[in-house]
Amino acid sequence: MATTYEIYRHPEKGLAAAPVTFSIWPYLFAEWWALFNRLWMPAIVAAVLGAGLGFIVRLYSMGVIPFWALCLFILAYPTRLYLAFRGGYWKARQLERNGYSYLGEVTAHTGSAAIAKARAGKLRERARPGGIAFRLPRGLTRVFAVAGLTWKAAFRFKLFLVIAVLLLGAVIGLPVLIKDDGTARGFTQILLTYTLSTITGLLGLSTLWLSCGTLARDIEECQVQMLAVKPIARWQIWLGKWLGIVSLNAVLLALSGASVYTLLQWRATRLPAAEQGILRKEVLVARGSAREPDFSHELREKAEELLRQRLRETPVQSDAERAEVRRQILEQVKASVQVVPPGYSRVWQVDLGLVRYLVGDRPLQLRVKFNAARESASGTFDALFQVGVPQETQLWRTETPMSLAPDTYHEFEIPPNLFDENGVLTIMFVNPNDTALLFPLEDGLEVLYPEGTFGLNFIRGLGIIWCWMALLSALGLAAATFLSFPVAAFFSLAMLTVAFSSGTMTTAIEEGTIMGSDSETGEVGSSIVDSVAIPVFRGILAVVNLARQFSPIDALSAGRSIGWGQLAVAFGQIVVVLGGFFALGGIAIFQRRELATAQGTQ
Amino acid sequence: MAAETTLETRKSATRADGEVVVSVRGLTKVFKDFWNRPKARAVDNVDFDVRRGEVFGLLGPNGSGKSTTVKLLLGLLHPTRGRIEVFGHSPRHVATKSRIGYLPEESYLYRYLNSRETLDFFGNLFHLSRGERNDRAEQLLEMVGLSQTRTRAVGEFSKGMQRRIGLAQALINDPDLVILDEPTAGLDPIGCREVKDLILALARRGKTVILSSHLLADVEDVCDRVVIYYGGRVQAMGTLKELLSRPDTIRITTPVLPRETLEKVLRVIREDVAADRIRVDNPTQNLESYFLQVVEQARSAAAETSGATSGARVAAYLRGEAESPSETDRILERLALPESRPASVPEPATPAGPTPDEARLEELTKAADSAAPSPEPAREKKAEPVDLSKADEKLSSLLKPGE
Repeated sequence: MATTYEIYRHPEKGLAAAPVTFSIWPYLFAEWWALFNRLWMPAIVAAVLGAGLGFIVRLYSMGVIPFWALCLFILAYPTRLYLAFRGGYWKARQLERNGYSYLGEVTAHTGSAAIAKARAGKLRERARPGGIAFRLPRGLTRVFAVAGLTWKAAFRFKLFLVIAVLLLGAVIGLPVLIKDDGTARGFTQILLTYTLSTITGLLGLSTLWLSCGTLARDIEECQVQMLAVKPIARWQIWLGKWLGIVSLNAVLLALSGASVYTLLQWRATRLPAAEQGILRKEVLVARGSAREPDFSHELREKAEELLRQRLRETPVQSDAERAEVRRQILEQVKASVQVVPPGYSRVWQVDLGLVRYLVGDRPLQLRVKFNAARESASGTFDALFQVGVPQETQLWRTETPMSLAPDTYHEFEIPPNLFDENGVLTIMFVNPNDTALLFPLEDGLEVLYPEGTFGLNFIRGLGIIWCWMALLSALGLAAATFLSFPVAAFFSLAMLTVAFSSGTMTTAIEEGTIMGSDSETGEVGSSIVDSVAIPVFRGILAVVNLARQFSPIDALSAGRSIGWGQLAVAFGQIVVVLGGFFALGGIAIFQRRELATAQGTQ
Repeated sequence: MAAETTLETRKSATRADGEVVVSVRGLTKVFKDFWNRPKARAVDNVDFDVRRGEVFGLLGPNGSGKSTTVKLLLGLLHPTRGRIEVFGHSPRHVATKSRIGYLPEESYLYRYLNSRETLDFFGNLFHLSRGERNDRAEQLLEMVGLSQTRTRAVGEFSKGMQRRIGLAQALINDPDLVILDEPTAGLDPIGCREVKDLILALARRGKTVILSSHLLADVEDVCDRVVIYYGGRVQAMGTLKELLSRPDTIRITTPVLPRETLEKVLRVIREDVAADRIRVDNPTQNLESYFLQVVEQARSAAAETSGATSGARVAAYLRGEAESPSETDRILERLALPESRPASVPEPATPAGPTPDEARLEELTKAADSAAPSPEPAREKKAEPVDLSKADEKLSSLLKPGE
């Protein structure tokens, strides 16, 4: 990667080079580069933080964080980035302090190549810009100039003001319009779930609108021609616009998020004391979750084995019948694990892993949900729980049966330190009822443990919402590169609708047809249409789920922790992969587009 | 002053051995419809070169392909056929654009920025340091007469003021090639004159200027060489002298003569030329010169205006005074300047008119007796004042086949 180097000369020591802008070497070898250049303080800081990286690598090796979260961390390793940008300036200052004088600049891949070029007389005599406190690469300066322009447009056209007022109106107005029922859950529902959902919706629509408008209008009103004839690449124009919009979103999101947070904390003090306690324990926290290991794969294998056995005994001709038999066998196999018949018990073993050290002596919570085979007269069922292993660990059990309603989540606290020396928590449920109860594999039982504070969790949640906004702005800008403003807005909204129709697509994929099937004969519709549509739906779902698999609002409302790793994954999937896809497409079209075919409409 | 400069420039028209800045070969642009069917052939097989230091005019009626050519040169449109090189690169080469300044035919500036911010923004794209941006912006605003409206949004400007700020942004990078599309459209006569002076100043510094216009007077005043378009094709190309001079006629201009002297001269001429082929009249100053004189007088009376003021002299950095030029620049500057500056240049001859009659002679010689010269020193202009609004019709009629 070629970099511009400043060349300095010392009357005795000769020439030296310092990178003007971003340089790859301090990024890749921060500590060594700083040491080599005798920049002691940066070298110490980089070394200390390098040790921090070592810790992250250790966490990865222990399986706490996934591989690509590790990669993302390394790539965005901030000290190295900072040094890569700033290191050249420090070095230049040090050279001047040591009696070097500035000669000019050259472009080269390394410092020694720069000096060689300078010796060969390829030095550009360029006045050294004053105030070199922090120099950006030229390309980035242009990108930021365009981003700044987007900000100015948002302010001058009062767009920022209008959106900010709308968002704040939603934050303050919703709790006034919709009264909560005085419980912690109702309170959370209104003040967190509804307001954050409204903010996401409003901001999403305004982002689409702004991103379509900012580029499409520039093209229609020919202003982009004035940019395109300047030394700025078209990808830089695109990126500058995107950066402007996402930074605007970040500020708006921070503003409205801060309002929600403040309002939440303030209104929480007005709840009854008992409800406040529930709120502090179950919502205004960041709780991690641990479950039983996922053995659905083993269950599917067992179901297939049973299916083969049954088919040998009773052959089935029709495909539809075979699919139905497979489904039923799988349900039977799953039921053998999920269902707890009357008088029987079910044991879960949840491995807390390294979390046991983080939890310390703090209590944990169990979150359970079950379905009942039939209704009870009281509407609830008795439940007996025991946590821990007799003679091995501390033990806790429900002294009197708990009365729990089916089909809903229940959370209750268990004492700390009930897990064994390996961090495995053993939970047993005894069914004293006269009907079978079913604990779903996916969310039948979870162990919740305190992982962090609500404030940071809230910020991470907003971070994921911001990732969605970044994706929407990439979508809008990509559409605006080849469509007029209204058409681009319509196109983007249509794409959004498709993304929200994933339920229909999921159903079609599960049924294997979009044409529907005859429930009596089992015959499905056109196989030709399905052979095209179903793979397409699968592809669309795979892409859409990259963004939809995150649910920060639900997590925040349930007091679930949104880890930094999850945020990094969200950034990777939503911004880098999906946003990058739209960015590449948009930039490619923008690059090829003839910008002067439009006549000015202003 | 300006007219004299024009003549000097015109004299240095043929810099045929200079570096080729723009090279166009077989350039064709066909606009197509949605179904990719040809809709209009805007430029058809055009060839030309523009050399360093030239003021090159693209002349033609509306829709003749001038602006399309300009947009092709800037990479805003892609040629259907043919090749364009600007400074030896494709028009879409990003780094080359740092050497180009462009004023479009309309104001395509951001309406919500004020003039200061506009210049700062475009200066930033050229990676000028903050100090340099500030200096240049101040000089340019002064030059285009907008220093008093620097905080007003460009969207609130009149058309003329928008042209002025557009011109300023085109020059923020001290470009080597300036492409001006209808630069005087919407400008008052003072502004027109200033723009023309600026073009000449740039040319004197070895800058190359491509000027697209259908205003014949503009082109004639400043251009070294012109290409005349009609229907997307080049109809004529060459220096103004080559295109306009009439070798079969001459024109002699003198101060007002006594009647006797004039009769003697005419008698001598009539010995060789038929009386109906001789024309004697007073050269008239054109309307532009007269208008400028009136406004200059008004300005001396210190009348205030809320609009654009008359610009100051050309910005120092554009005159090359802001910084001492490098040796290379100095050599190039010297090479770009004309070798000598002749005191006078023969003007193209006045078209033949009717035979001078005695009464007219009487009237002309009376002026000598009155000894009351015009307040404006008569500038020599070879052409009759042109009705600018009829420019298109004139061009069209000139280009009609068979004439």
